[in-house]
Amino acid sequence: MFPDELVAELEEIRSCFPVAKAAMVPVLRRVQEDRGWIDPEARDWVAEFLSVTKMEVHEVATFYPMLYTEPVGKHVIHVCRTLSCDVCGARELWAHLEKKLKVERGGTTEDGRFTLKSAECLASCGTAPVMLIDNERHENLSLAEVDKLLEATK
Amino acid sequence: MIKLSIDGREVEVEPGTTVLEAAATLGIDIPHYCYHPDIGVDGNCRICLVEVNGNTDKLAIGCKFPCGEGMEVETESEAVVKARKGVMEFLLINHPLDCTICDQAGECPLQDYSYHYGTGDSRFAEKKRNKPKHVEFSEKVMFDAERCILCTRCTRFFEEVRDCRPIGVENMGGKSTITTGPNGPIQDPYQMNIIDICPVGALTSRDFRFKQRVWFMDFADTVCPGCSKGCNITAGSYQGKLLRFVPRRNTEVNASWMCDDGRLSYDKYNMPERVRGASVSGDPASFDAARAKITELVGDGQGVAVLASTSQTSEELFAVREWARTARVRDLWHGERTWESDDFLKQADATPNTAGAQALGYASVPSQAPELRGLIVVGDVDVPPALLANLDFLIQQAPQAGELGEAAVVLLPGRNALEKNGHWTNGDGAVQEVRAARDPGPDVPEDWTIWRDLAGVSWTSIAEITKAMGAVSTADAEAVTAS
Amino acid sequence: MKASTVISGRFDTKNSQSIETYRKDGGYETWSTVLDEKRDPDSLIDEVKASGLRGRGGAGFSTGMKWSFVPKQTDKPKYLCVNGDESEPGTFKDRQILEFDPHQLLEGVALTCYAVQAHTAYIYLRCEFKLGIATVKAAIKEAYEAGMFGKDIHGSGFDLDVSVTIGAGAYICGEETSLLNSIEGVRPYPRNKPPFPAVEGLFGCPTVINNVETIANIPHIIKNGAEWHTKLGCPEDPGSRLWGISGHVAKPRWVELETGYKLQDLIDGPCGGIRKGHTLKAIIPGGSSSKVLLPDQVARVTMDTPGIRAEGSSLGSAAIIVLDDSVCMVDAVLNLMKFYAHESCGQCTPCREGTPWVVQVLQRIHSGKGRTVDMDLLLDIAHNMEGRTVCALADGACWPLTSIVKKFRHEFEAKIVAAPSATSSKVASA
Repeated sequence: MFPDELVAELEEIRSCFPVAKAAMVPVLRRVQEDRGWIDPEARDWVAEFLSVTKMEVHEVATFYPMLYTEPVGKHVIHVCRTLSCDVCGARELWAHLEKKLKVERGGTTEDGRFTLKSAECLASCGTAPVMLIDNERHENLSLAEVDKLLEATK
Repeated sequence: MIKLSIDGREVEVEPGTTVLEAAATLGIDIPHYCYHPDIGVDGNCRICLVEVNGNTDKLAIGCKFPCGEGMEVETESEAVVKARKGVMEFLLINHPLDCTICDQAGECPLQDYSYHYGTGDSRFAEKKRNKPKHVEFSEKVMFDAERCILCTRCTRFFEEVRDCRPIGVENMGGKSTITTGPNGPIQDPYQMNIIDICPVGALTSRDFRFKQRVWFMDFADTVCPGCSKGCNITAGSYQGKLLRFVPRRNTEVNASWMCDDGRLSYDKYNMPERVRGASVSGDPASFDAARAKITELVGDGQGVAVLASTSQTSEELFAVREWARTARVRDLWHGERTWESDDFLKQADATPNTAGAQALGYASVPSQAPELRGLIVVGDVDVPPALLANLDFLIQQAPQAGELGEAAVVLLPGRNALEKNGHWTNGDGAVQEVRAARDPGPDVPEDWTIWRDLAGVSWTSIAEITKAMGAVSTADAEAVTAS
Repeated sequence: MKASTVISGRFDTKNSQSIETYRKDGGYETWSTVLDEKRDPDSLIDEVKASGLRGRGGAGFSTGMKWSFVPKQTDKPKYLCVNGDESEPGTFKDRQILEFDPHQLLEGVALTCYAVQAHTAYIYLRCEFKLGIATVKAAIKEAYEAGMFGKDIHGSGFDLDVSVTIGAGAYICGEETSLLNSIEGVRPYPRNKPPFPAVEGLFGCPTVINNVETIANIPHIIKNGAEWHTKLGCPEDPGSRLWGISGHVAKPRWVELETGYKLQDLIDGPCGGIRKGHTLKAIIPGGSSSKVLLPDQVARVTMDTPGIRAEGSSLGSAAIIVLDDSVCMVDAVLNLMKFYAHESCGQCTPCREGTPWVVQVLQRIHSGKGRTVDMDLLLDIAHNMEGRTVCALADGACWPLTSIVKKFRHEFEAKIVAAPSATSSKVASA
């Protein structure tokens, strides 16, 4: 199901722990990077890979905001909504993105290019407002910069 | 031993005892939802908060907090009662409060504690959270996520007691929900136990749902007749009709559990079709006439054997044996019925009192059975066909006649396993009290009275037999076996 | 106010992340010396205890004390977990260490493991720290290659394996026992204590869990001695910390300062004061899970444990959120309470049910449908949550909530009596 290289990488992650199950979150994240989201097939593969039940994977995967158990767009944007960003331009950023992408929080653009997600504090409060595009951090954002970033993210 | 005080009362406990357990020894009931004595402690519901050594800032959970030497615990202090009320309120704000149509009503700790710690009116002016309702967890279990208080007794039951994960918790925070997630319907043959341990009406029995309000029902604490484990149960009925079995806690036998097969077997004991009154050669007869016929048929007892069901109580079997002694019938055999056992509670012996029968001297039917003139079949028992060959007569005393009935010269009624009183001895040798959960209606006397009257003894109650049995059983049983 | 460079001294160095520059600046000398001199592990614990170092994650517990709870005689392996889940709103300090001086952290990891005789360390980083994760992983590789980690380090017989593991965006994982469950691959619910992690932690084994910045302090304390550390800043709470100032100051930033400085001086000095045209309204001084300070309190408070306690708040993660007069405090507290409601793990009843309830009430007040009873209701809901749950997340929600409701009651009342149309819901225009 996965290329040998990726499986080797996952095996290396697993080898860091005395029990395979402890590799759960890093393995799920890595699988998600590969597939965009943790689809049922991937979930079941991980269960077998870590010698746990599907339910154990499901319980963990549905807990974490940064693990997606529903399909997402080609690129995922996370905009911080927490206080420091909120008072330093995040509202304008939100309004801008929702209008520009014609999508609500949590939604995916019609063309499937972007999913716009809300994030809680991203530890960049001194450089607010902040957002992640595909987990890449962008700080001190002006609306013009946001437009440029979106343009550059094909 | 550790000495501490709870609500000002001194108590001494083993090291490792929790506050909740220590309080229980004093008769102090600390409210709890997620704690269940037969599953590991979790500590999520927070209703069991207690005050330790006057610390009101951080209360401790009674279910997990270990007793310490000299500790002073308050279970009803101002801070504790306030916290408990708070937890009750939190549990109820998003609860649908649909008690009027909820099967748990009447046996719901949420209702009970609400009665004690609830405020009566709600401060919650917001919209309640919506979650999935009518979720079919399986053909046996229905789930309502809105009623669920996420105590996780159900998931922990499977994890810890059954070593499987058919359900789990998905999502986080207020969106957390119990789910079958990636799994299909629950398959586990003990799954219905989660219905009993669910402290609210979130998990309900699809079999029992909407059948009856529990406060209109009658209950009998008895023993499951399904196998030789003898799981303790409470049988619930309405107007004489059995509606459900639920397990009753006995740490020596079944803890708080029973198998679904046993649980769902209740209906067969309702027996709309059954033997009523006595008959001789297919015609209704008086009990006196039936008894006279039996005496005539049995004669000197030679070539006659008794085959009794191991669903009969020991008292009933004792009465039969007493008659057999007077009638000089020497071969006392017990029936056998098996089903597939498992590695938990279900035993291969699908009857509840084989050990009791054997203790009274009843033996398995010999593989080379002696040639018989007559056979007396007692109770619900499978008769090996070989025994029926060349019989002059067959006498049957049983709740239902079945195929044998037509061949029986004398047919007498009997009470089924849920209509009896007395004792069964389970496969591990535990002697357990059996109590009638329903009345069979007219013309079905208690089995023991039939044999008492035939034997001409003067017992007036089951208790008398129990007493007599206790004095004679062991020694006598050996004598019979030896003969 | 005394600027300091204990932790951040190398941040501006070119290639500060590389082991080459780290060693050039004297890095790993302490670790090598400890191994070569075969120092008594307990002496390291004593040193850290005597240094007065308090954990930098938020709770501020004595680090040396925490280490001393790890049993000496045990058949079980011991673990160190470094908490780099940095998610407390307003906090962005650990990230700087991870991205700019990872070897400082790794040397601290080595020394800590040696002190408590752990042979395995996991550095737990939130997955959003893409750069930090890559930087630390590269540094770990370098450290292995340089013989700082691995088997029989420096021929001392001491083995140490260090690896990075990650979280996935859940604030609760910063709670130390939740972090353990997260690493173990189960739902990251905080654990009931006792047992404490020092005795029964990761995989049921004795475990030390320390914040990134805490660990980054260790090489300096072992190198310079406890006494050196006790002389930094406030004597009762000594040390040098990375402070993060966000919100409505002219220059939001992180800055390293010794404890004991005046908050007002920090705002007016390095941060350039409140942004132009506005005045200070309130400061949340220790990450969002701390009680709000009013301008008069800001004017007198010193940033150290006794100083901030005197004003009824806490230092937490040293994250200072500055709010000016453009902010509606109902709006601000609603924003924060949404955070806690979103991040509640859902394990304990009071937090799972209480935090969303608080949000609902605040939203109602905010939308002009408040009732006069709502302020007291909020305070009572908080009362029923605080100290009633497994972990401190609910407490952390209650502290800003109750302090804001109490100190800004008039703003709530104004929302409640005013017609919805008369009240702007706008918080700030940056």
